[in-house]
Amino acid sequence: MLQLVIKRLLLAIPTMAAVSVLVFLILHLVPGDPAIIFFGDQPVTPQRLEQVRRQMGLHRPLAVQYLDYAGGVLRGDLGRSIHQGTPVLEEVVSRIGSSAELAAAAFGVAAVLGLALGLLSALWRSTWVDAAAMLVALTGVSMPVFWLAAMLIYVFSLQLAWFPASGFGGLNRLVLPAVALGFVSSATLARIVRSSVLEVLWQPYVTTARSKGLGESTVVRRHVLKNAFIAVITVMGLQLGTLLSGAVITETVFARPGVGKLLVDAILNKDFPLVQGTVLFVAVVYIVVNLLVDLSYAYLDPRIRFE
Amino acid sequence: MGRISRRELLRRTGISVGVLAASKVLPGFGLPRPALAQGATTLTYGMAGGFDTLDVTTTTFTRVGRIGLHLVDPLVWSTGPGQYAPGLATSWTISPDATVYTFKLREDVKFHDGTALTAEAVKVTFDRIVDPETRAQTAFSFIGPYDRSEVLDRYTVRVRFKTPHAAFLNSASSPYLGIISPAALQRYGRDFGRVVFVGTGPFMLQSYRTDAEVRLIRNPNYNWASRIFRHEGLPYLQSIVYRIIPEEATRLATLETGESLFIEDVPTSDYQRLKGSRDKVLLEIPQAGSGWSLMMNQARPPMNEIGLRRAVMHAIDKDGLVRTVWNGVFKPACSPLTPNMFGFDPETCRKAPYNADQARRLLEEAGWRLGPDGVRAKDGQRLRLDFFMQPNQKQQEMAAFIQANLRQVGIEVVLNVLARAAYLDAVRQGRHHFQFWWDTGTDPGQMLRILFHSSNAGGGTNRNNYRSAEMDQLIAQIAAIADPQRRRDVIIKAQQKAIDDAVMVYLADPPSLYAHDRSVSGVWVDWGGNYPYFYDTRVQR
Repeated sequence: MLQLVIKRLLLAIPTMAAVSVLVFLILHLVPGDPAIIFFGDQPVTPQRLEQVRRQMGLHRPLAVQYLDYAGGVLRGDLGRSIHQGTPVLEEVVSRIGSSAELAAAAFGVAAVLGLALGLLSALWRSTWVDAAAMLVALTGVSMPVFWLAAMLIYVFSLQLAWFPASGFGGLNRLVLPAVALGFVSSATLARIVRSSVLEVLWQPYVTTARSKGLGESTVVRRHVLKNAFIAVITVMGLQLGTLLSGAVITETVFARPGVGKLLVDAILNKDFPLVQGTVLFVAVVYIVVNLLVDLSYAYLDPRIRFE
Repeated sequence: MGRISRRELLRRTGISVGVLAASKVLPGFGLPRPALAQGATTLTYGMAGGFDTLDVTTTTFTRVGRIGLHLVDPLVWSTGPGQYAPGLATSWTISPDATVYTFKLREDVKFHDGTALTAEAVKVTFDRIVDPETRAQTAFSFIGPYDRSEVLDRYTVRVRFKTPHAAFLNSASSPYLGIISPAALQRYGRDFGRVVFVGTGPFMLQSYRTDAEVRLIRNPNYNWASRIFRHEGLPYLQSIVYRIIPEEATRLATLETGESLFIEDVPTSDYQRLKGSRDKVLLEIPQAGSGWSLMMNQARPPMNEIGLRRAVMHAIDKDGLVRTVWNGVFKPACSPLTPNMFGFDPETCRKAPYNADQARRLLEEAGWRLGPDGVRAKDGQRLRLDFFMQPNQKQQEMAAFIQANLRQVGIEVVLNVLARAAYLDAVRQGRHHFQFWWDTGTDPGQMLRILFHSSNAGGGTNRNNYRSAEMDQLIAQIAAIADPQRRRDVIIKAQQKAIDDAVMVYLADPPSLYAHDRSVSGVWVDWGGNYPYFYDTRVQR
């Protein structure tokens, strides 16, 4: 087990290196000169433009720029934003709290709702319960999150005045964004849960368990869920990463700072160090979550052993 | 976001105060509670977006000026176009050629860090603006041809310019040239503007969370308010909280729930509803500067033909555009300057009226003949023009309107919507025929220079790529003449020249739209419409 963790963490190093090279190259392929973006619609002389380009370090060859950056990262220095001059690490860290809080809450909503809907529709397959649950899931999949967010604000902030419409800090500011974000991702989850459960439900060992005289709830809990969960956990792991870094729209509508918004702004500004730093952070999150997912397999399925 | 009836709005605001109070006081699920009896002394402000830094010297954001004006004091205050009142400076003299300004400072002013305001601080602030390491932008263009500052005595400073800078008082009245504590600059270095900011203003920076909120608290020593305000001494408000709420529907919702008491950038679609509201107040101030307009790139044929550019001027129905896209809240524009600018020429409104027939005639005269598909052509070349813009809802609506208008007279327009980086690349390289422009500022000379001076052509802000020695000379004169009447005459000449040469099409002049709860009173907004200032403001329940 420990060996596996160490091995996976070592494997993460080339992954991260590949991610950073790719991001660096892609950013340079996208048109747009960061110095020009910096000045935008402000009047500027060519000399001044060149000066800022130098200050941003863009006059150096690409390889030098990259190696310099990578060297910094190895020393634990993610560099400074070329636009604002602020340390990248600080920029990312200042958003993690808000993003993590939202991701965790939305994940909770998604897990509870997704599991409940998926199980209901699988266990009552081909009944009105199934149809109703899948209708909810379908609504969730097709509903744009900004619309749901706006409706939640309309009903729960404006009409009922139960929750504030914006900001972060405190549970009451978390409820609406978590529901908006969680509901949409619960829909995907519900469908996965349904199909995985259905698959397991017809396995011979389930029939065996039933014929042993086990109660239906025990059968479902012990034999069905545990086995169905491998696929479900994998999807949930991926969802967690998305919730943490891809909640830009929800963050914007509810006026919350977040990693997703930071990344989008950085890309629009072609702020290389900031994009790199944020992407590295997101990559780390995905690697860690995937590792946890892998480890959970051993618990869920005793046949899986890590050597 | 759905519309809400007025009765609804009234009902809702009854409970709105409770939401704010409860969310502040009670952790967890805040249920509405009756309004607290004592007057709230915090103003919550819903801001439309984030920004780069809180340092007024280095920022590019008007929003930072909005916050910053509370943290610094300007040397002078602008009370109307071309009119100034004492700020940190009690008096000033200007050399006839507008190259030397001498300011006498108040002697009773202290920075938030306790150090005294002296002539040296003015010099340090201004020197820092032109230091290349600072990478100042807005402040840099405001300070213009700055040469150096001389400290004449502890409270007298002389500012010298390399060439005439008649607009310097206007610049000095902006928050971007507000005076900063040299001691704090030294002490905090790169953290200045990021975590700390030290000026002499009526409020002090308490905390700043990027992309989230800025908290200001009252400066307990403030006793040097300009006489243009209604009271002296401390500001009435205990604190101001600027919260960043980019989504406009959400921002409006926070005004209605009471989470915000004041919001900026009210969408024009909600104009009528707020205007009729009994517990909200809509502030509508014509925005000074240069409204929404269309730049025509003369460097890319066939836009170099003046006949074609004239035809475009006549082919666009500005009244219709304003009604369709801006709900009739914006006003049809006439000139590169908005009507409230010093030197605005009302004659410009008569110069290029909407007249599609006139446009067609001009195109015929220029040799553009109507083809079978309704698009004109000359020498086998179709009249097909490229319009570059950024992915912005309103800009795309305006562009679609213009596209339809031009199609009526036989011009085909291709809309290219590009993200900021690619857009700037394209227009700076001059690959466009059309692009939008909008700018705000209170100095006419600076506006005209940005739009029309040849030094800004070829990749700068003059993306008309218009080059005219005569115009350059007019712009130089505007900068050099300190005498208002003579300056006005030259500004008028420049506007007429710009229209005669059919450089741009002026589309719509926007107002600045703010809204606040009726409990808020005493808001001062500069005449240019950009800086709501809360020194005189009270919140009464």
